[in-house]
Amino acid sequence: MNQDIRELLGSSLHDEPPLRIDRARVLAAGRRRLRVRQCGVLAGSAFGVVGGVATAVAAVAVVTAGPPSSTDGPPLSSPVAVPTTAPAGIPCPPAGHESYVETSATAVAEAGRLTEAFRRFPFPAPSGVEMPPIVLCAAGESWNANIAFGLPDGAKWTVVIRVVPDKAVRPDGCPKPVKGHSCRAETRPDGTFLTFSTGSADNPGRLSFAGVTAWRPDGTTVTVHESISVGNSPARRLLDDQALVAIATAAELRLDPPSSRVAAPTGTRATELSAVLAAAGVLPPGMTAVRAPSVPVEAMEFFVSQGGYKLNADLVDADGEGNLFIFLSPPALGHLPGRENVTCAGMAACEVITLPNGRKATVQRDTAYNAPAKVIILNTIAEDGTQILVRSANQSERFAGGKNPPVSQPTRPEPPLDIDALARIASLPGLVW
Amino acid sequence: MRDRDREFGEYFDARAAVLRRTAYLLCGDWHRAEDLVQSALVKLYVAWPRLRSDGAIDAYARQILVRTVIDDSRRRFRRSETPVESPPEVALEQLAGAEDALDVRRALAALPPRQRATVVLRYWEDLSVEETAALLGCSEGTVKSQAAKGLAALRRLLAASRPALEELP
Repeated sequence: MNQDIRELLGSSLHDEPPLRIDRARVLAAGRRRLRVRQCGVLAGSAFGVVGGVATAVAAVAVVTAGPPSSTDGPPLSSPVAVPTTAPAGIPCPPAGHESYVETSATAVAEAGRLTEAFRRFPFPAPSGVEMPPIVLCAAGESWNANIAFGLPDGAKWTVVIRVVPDKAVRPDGCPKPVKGHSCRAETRPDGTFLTFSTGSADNPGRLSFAGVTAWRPDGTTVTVHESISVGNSPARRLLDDQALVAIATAAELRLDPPSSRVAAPTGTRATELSAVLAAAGVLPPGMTAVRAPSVPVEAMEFFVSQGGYKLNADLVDADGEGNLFIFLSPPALGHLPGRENVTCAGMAACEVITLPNGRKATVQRDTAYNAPAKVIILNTIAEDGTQILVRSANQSERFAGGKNPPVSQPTRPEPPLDIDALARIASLPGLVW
Repeated sequence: MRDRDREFGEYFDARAAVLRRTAYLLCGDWHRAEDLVQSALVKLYVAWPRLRSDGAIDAYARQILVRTVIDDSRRRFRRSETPVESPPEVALEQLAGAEDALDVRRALAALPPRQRATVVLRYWEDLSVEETAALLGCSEGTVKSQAAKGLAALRRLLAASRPALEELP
């Protein structure tokens, strides 16, 4: 019986596409996470000795401050040459069994910039309270700091700062009241809308938290939330309302203006990119594109996936079927035109070439990892910082994935597009974020 | 570090595709399955020395994959790959396969995440009730009831196109 059900489940794998997870990229990401974890342990011990209390987030960032790892790219399956000009930053570590929130290199870099900026802010902690280092980490599209404070008498507080872009409609008052919570709202003369909330989460009648959220005119929303530990008896606040507001409205926590931030990928832009490719006529005469089974759009169309724009199409001509895969990743924050670090360092079977538009690109072909298929992988960075990957393989997705288990045999002698063709695609002026 | 990289690389080559199939059965989207497997493999790399000495690499890989899938399902709604109504032009034999695949995919997608995970772990990964319960962090009774409900739902959803399934428990 189990075998019947297993076969039934296996039948749904009918259109299994070729594996596109890059081993080198996974290894690099693993090494980076290992470094973060090891540094966190060391720094945590150090803070314990001096009596201060710092969260793992803060500790990690202090020790690892420096240039970001080259593994800070968003999708692991798109190995690209990453510029080394972005400021330092870290993604937020997961809580409990949670996994990492998918966070772009741009957001991680913004975490570094915010951390640096917030160091200049005079944090309104009462005298006698030791200030731990404050680091904002990135989680998706939010930036967070989790700061622990303590006094020798055992009193403890945790202050959480959360910074998000102001995308939603601003509220016109407090949310619906919850038992044990209170809230009031006010609008400042400069247009900042504030909500003040306090409550008792554990013991009715005993204050356990206080918070302020500021919807600011600069397009940034900041929440500052103070939790008062049960050990504080009687419950004392670390930060009064004025201090919470000072933090929530701090100019240092202003996110980069939307105009200079990288836009999230959209279906509209994907359509535009498809048009760019169609107008360029990148396929040789006699070659046609066929929709690959795993993609949600037609052949030779881009779609939004893994935080970028992806195109995945099978190409057919008299020699057989192959596959074309293109992935555009967002520009890294801090990208400086002309300073891109396009290199073959650490990449097997790789060479650096010059594209028709004069920019550098790396080309990898026929790596042992892809055997027996033949592949050509071209990576480059456009002038605006868009990270471009173009891959041609002599293995079409629809036939490679048509068996269970999949048969990784070539479906044509050579990849359908050669290096020159890939270079031409990567040079298209409109193929940018 | 070099040994870790080499050993992990060998494991990656041998098991990444297998893990991706499990992830696909759990989430119903090849692209998302790759995201999930990548995330799980990075965690696996970090824990590698301990796992190697325990000899429980596959079990741990499976565990973090399933937890990643369930966490991810909880955290945010992600649009599943929409099964195409009209498969690409292929040979008749393949067309029949594609239709079957579509049916099973739809049926799996209709199951709640934990129920789907239970079915996949019990019948695709061939784990015992005890192993499945340990991995999902629930009781053996819950695994039995979730598996029964999951199979019943699959049977109901697929009955029209697959009469033989009526014989499944």
